[in-house]
Amino acid sequence: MNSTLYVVAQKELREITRDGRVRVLFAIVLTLTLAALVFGAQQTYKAAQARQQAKERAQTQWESQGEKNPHVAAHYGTHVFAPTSVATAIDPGVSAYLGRSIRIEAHRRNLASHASAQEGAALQRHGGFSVALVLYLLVPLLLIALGYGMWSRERERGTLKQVLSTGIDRRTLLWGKATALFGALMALLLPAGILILGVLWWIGGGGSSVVFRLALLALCYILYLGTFGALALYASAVATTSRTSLVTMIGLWGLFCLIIPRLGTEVAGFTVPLPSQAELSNAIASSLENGIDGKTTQDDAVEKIITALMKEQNLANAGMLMDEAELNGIELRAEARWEDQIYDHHIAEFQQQLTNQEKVGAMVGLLSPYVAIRNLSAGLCGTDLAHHQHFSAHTEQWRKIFVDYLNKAFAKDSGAEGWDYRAGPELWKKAPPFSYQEPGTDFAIGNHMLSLGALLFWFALAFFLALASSRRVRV
Amino acid sequence: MSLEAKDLVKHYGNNIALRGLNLRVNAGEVFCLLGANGAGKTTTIQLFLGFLDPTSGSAKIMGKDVQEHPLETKRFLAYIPENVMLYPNLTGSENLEYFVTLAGCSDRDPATLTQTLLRAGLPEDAIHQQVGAYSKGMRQKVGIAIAIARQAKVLLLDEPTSGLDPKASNEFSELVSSLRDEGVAVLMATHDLFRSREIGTHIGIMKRGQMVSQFQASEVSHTDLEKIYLENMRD
Repeated sequence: MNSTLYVVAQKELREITRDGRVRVLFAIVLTLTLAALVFGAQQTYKAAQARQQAKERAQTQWESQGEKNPHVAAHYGTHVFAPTSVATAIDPGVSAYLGRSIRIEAHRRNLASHASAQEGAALQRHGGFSVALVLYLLVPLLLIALGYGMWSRERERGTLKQVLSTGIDRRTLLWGKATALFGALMALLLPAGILILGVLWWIGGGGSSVVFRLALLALCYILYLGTFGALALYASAVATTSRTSLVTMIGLWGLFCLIIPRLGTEVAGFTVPLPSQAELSNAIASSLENGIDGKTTQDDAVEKIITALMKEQNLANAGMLMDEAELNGIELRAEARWEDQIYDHHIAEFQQQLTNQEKVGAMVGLLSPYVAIRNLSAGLCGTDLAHHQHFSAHTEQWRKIFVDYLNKAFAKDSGAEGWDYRAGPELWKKAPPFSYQEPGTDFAIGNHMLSLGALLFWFALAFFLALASSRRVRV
Repeated sequence: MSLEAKDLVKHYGNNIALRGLNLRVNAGEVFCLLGANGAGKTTTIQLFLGFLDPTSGSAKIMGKDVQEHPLETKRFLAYIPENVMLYPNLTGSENLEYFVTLAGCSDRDPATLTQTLLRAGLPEDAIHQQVGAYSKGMRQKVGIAIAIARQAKVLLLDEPTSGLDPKASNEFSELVSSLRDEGVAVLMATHDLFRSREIGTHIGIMKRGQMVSQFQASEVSHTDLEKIYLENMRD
């Protein structure tokens, strides 16, 4: 590092550390970060344990359901549970509102239920206290407190003239101040980062993919917080007084972190309205009766699918030669396919609306680095809507395989017994197991390219402004 | 020529602060600028510092134009304003080290810096105290220490003894005189006729942005200087 730049940074850090008010503020933010992490880790650990217990209970219930017809067993169904990413301890994102389990049954595609926000106490429903919240809401305030007077205070107390009379380049001064801000930020983030890695190790599950995601997350947060630091330097350089600089930065913080996110939600809700749960259920019921086009009756549609299925199995002309149970099995599979088409159509439409809402929100978010980091943070922690939809789609694929497995068993094994046929634990145990692998980091980033672009744009703009203003700082 | 102003003009909107100022200060000379408030003394100093751009004319330090070589010309000079402003949370030696480093000086040995502060007259026990507790006189001494440590060839002083008690003012003047004797060129804006006669080699009286009178300090007595000054101040 250039020695002059280092000396400027060192001087700024000395001033920061010797200011009692800043020390208190720093201690508060660090304590809040660590408290949020411990709280988040505890919640995540509990959720992971509860999930494991519920998963084992569901498996036991499925395997010990006794003897029954395979199709009845498909109605009896089971539950699958969304994985709890260890990164939830850092940013729970929207996971609290999206449900953690999906009931699996024949004829019906269920949405996720048992969201923690529905079950938790009032405080939890308010979105909660998390490391991410501290990082994207409170740490910018700390940076504002550190940076708002870096130029203006020097000007007010007259040291700027003294400094500039030494012949130092203003850019070196700016970089020195920026380095000091970065150093102060690292003094906060490094202990938090080390603790985060420790907590992940304790929860168990911090594989290399999670560490990679967290490294990217740290980078995104540095860009975000760097944006606030650079904007504070800019405001400090152009404002006539330190007070004006502080008020300007608090105003910007309010605009970025409170007003624009709210505006984004309102605009998204207005431009892409979502159906209520009742409306969605009614639409599905209506389509099941009369088809998606409103003209195809269920009987006609199922009949067509039966014909296609029989053709697939070279049974097109078998008709009367088939036993009743086999025909029932094919009918059940055809019904399931018809219902799947309807559910897939409506749920895909609903999820597209949700995605569109998110896109509108992200577009409005171009006006605020806060919205960008909020989306990226949840994405990299695997707690955003896209990850939920990924899990939901995977679950639906498995549900179809699971129901088909039971219907096929009915068609194949019931023979003359027909609906009186009973299968036992052997069949239940051999059912295809549910396994789910969270998507990779490319998926997380790919869904938030707009937010990443917005964050990079804000960072570049803020640094350009800080750099340009340093050349014109009034003495 | 250490310092040179040539036809220096400065306008602030419709207000004319300097009207074609010419002055020269050689090494080992102290040029004292006298004049009422608003005469243009501080503007002249600010133009040499490059904090203001002249409307026309030029200000040169060690033969280099301040506007054309803003960073290079500052390497030659030290500036001591009416109130030397330092960082209150840093000690005297930390402040000195900081300013000396910014000025690009290589010798930042703590022992040397302490010696410099002692030479500037700062009490030994104050050297490692935070500057927030310093008196104005002590801060001015740190200012002088900065000039000494930087081995400045040009010293720009803007009413540096204003508000100092007589003892502190005398100590300050002695330090400036010793720097003058070492070959430093000094330009000092002041209201203090006594000090200018005592340490100045040249005296200039400014009025409404113009140098109305200029002479060698040794040519006049204290009484003469007061007379000349008052005569020039009459409308």
